[in-house]
Amino acid sequence: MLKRRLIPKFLARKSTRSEMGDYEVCISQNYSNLKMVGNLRSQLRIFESNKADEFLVINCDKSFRSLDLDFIRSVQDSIALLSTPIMVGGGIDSVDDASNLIDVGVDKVLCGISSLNHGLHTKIANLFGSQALSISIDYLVGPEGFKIGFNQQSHYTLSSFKTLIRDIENSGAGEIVLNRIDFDGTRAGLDIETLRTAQMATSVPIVISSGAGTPEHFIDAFESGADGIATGTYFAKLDQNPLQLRSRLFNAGIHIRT
Amino acid sequence: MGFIGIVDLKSNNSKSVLNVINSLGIEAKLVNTPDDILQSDRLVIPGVGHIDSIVRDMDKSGIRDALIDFSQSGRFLLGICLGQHLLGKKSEESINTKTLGILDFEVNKLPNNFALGLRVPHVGWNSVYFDKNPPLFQSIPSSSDFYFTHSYGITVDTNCAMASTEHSVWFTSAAGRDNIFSVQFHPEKSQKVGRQLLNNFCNLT
Amino acid sequence: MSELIRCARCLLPETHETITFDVAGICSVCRNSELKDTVDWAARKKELNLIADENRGKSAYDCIVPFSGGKDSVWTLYYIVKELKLKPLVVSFDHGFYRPNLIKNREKVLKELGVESLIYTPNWKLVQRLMLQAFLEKGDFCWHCHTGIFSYPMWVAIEKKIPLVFWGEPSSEYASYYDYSEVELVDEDRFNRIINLGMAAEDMLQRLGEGFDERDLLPFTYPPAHELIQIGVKSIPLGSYIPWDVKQQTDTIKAVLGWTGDFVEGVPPEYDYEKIECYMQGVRDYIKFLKRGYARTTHLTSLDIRNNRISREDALDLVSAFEGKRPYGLDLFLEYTGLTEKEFYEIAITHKLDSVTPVVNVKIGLKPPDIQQWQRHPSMPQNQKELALLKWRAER
Repeated sequence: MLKRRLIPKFLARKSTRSEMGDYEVCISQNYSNLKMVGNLRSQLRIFESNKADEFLVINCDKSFRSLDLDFIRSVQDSIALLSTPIMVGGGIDSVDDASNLIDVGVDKVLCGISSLNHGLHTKIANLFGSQALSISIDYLVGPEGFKIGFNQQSHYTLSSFKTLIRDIENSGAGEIVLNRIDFDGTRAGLDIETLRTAQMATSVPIVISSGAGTPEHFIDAFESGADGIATGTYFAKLDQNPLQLRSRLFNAGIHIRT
Repeated sequence: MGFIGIVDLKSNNSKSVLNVINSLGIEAKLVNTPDDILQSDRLVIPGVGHIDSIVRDMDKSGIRDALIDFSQSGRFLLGICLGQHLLGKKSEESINTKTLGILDFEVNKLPNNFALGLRVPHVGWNSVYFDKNPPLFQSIPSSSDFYFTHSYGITVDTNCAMASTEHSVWFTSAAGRDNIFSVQFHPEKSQKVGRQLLNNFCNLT
Repeated sequence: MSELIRCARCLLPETHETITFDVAGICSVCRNSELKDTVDWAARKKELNLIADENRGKSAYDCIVPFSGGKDSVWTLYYIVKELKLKPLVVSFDHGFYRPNLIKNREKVLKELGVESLIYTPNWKLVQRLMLQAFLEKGDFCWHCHTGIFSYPMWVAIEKKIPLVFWGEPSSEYASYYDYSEVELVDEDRFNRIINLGMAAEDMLQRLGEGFDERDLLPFTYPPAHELIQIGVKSIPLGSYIPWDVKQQTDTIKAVLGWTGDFVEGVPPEYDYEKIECYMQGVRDYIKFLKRGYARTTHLTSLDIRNNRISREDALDLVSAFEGKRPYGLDLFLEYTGLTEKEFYEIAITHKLDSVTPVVNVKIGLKPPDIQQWQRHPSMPQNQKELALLKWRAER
């Protein structure tokens, strides 16, 4: 039986402490107010010991349009001795970006929806397979509907949101990551409602991200059918690790590795 | 013993496999010429992506015959994920693409099952079941979880099945006969049990 | 008494790390202890003898025994010297809070067994900062101690080229990170799962902010894998090779070595053999109670239940009587970290697990007889505490 996935999330940026091109890991609130919590290489190693099901590393350095070679090198160094699946996103704007990452051992690249417009998704899916392409929908929910994207903030109604998801699947995505921006760092709960909306619109696996704060949040989302949950703040700010959380979820009847 | 050859084609995640085998203290190197392949003590064929891409890259590198010769030499061979598909007779992903036909199975699209919340691609950790203690799985209990990420698999029965996994349907997650092995999951991304399996492969006698 | 779901056999609650319950409501730690009887201990003992033979006489010392002076490390040292007849180098990490009786025990045991020893004391100013930071970040101030105890001896192993390191009990005795079917390696994986609270030294350095660098945190850093591989390290718990029996072992070390027990805050007086080393133990257990709704009495009586030494009903009575009372050690803790008692509770409560009922009426525990001898180390400068607290509050 396929197990649900616990996916520690690492917001990465160039370390201010070290001159060696080291990357540090941060947590955030609303994807701003970045607070560093550790070293990327060190944290990935620790989470592998704790049997994370996958890693999600997001490049947060806004200073580069496309992928910084230092970042790719840092990812490569960090995972060289590890054997955990890894998804990487943040600034993937070309087939080369995707290729450079996959070449160093990254399993999935995470692209935003802006690249939907210029056919990047399809090119990546054709070259590396759908299972190598995950698409992140970063959104807010307001009275008028969905606002999508960190910068662009395009408006979508419920109906056009579902169409967007179908378009994403048709463009070759193997997985969708739903990322509710205003829940980030709040630890107040995940957006189950949007998960349910997305489930009706696509047949690919769905990962939900932002807002997990208690084991109940994880249980609710998994019971609602989330294939995976990505979380950064939860493990960084509490005396919790994936091994502890797993047992709790197992006790609640969730199919998860122990 | 000589080195483990890891077939390196354009972006087939060969480096992940190389890293893991090296970290086990075993000598391995990337190979993509007929000579290097035939000099390998044993061979691993990793694969991600589309069957057309891996076949095209294989033929561009001119290593098709070398792979077939290697498989007939009695030395151990392991295909991973798309590498497994490559060893089969054909794949529904691209029905006319000429795979190697070394193992007697066909590859088909995995069905999804919304009623049970089972989606495709099949992504994540799933149980691998086997009996009769296959040497490839030594020290690994049956029903151990390995990491899968694929949309196509061996869904039709085959006489070279070694292990099976369930996702909507039961499919063959590991196959093999004599010196040839193949797995649908990614041992190089399956943490402890994956490393154990790769270690087992490297030490098969 | 909180309404946590507890194991149907012992008293471990749902908030215990890694615990799972089966259909009968029996917990994974109980089930794991059943596995203990199925282990081929004869075969493991043979393996142990082989390991001992392979390492005897090869270098200046046959092995390292990390040593606190508590019952487990004393028993381990005793076994290594008397049974395995190995020449150990005893290595201790001074966390700063050794109790007077423990220091006496240590001296007595080391002299009685006739062994050489090293003791390392870290920088107190750094320890204070680490205690406060770890308490803020993870609700557990013992980060420096956990990481130091497990890292420092490994550095000694590398420096002196002594590959064999013997620890004491396996973690399967009290949690489900590992089970008895495997020999538990005391390695970096274990360090990352159980010891460092998810923060390696590099990560803690990031969180500390200004004032310290990599060199300062070296004793708390697990050595790089390649350096350990180079000396052929074998870091193993004795309890993976011989069945661990706390009562029998304690009786032996008391009788043969003159080891003595001590009063411990938060547990019934008859449990005078566990965690007697550290005078911050009471505070540590109290914080655990605030966070997880249970503490050391639950753990100790659960072990006894599993070994048929106490009934579950009697155990529950002891838990009610002794757990969750404010320890005297808290006064010292507040001095060391510069926190007020109000701030202490504020921080502890933020780490409370959701299923735990907050403590309302604080009762005071029994006064430790040796409390006047507990050292009043220099207290934390107020401005440093304020800075750390400010930063933590801003990020919540």
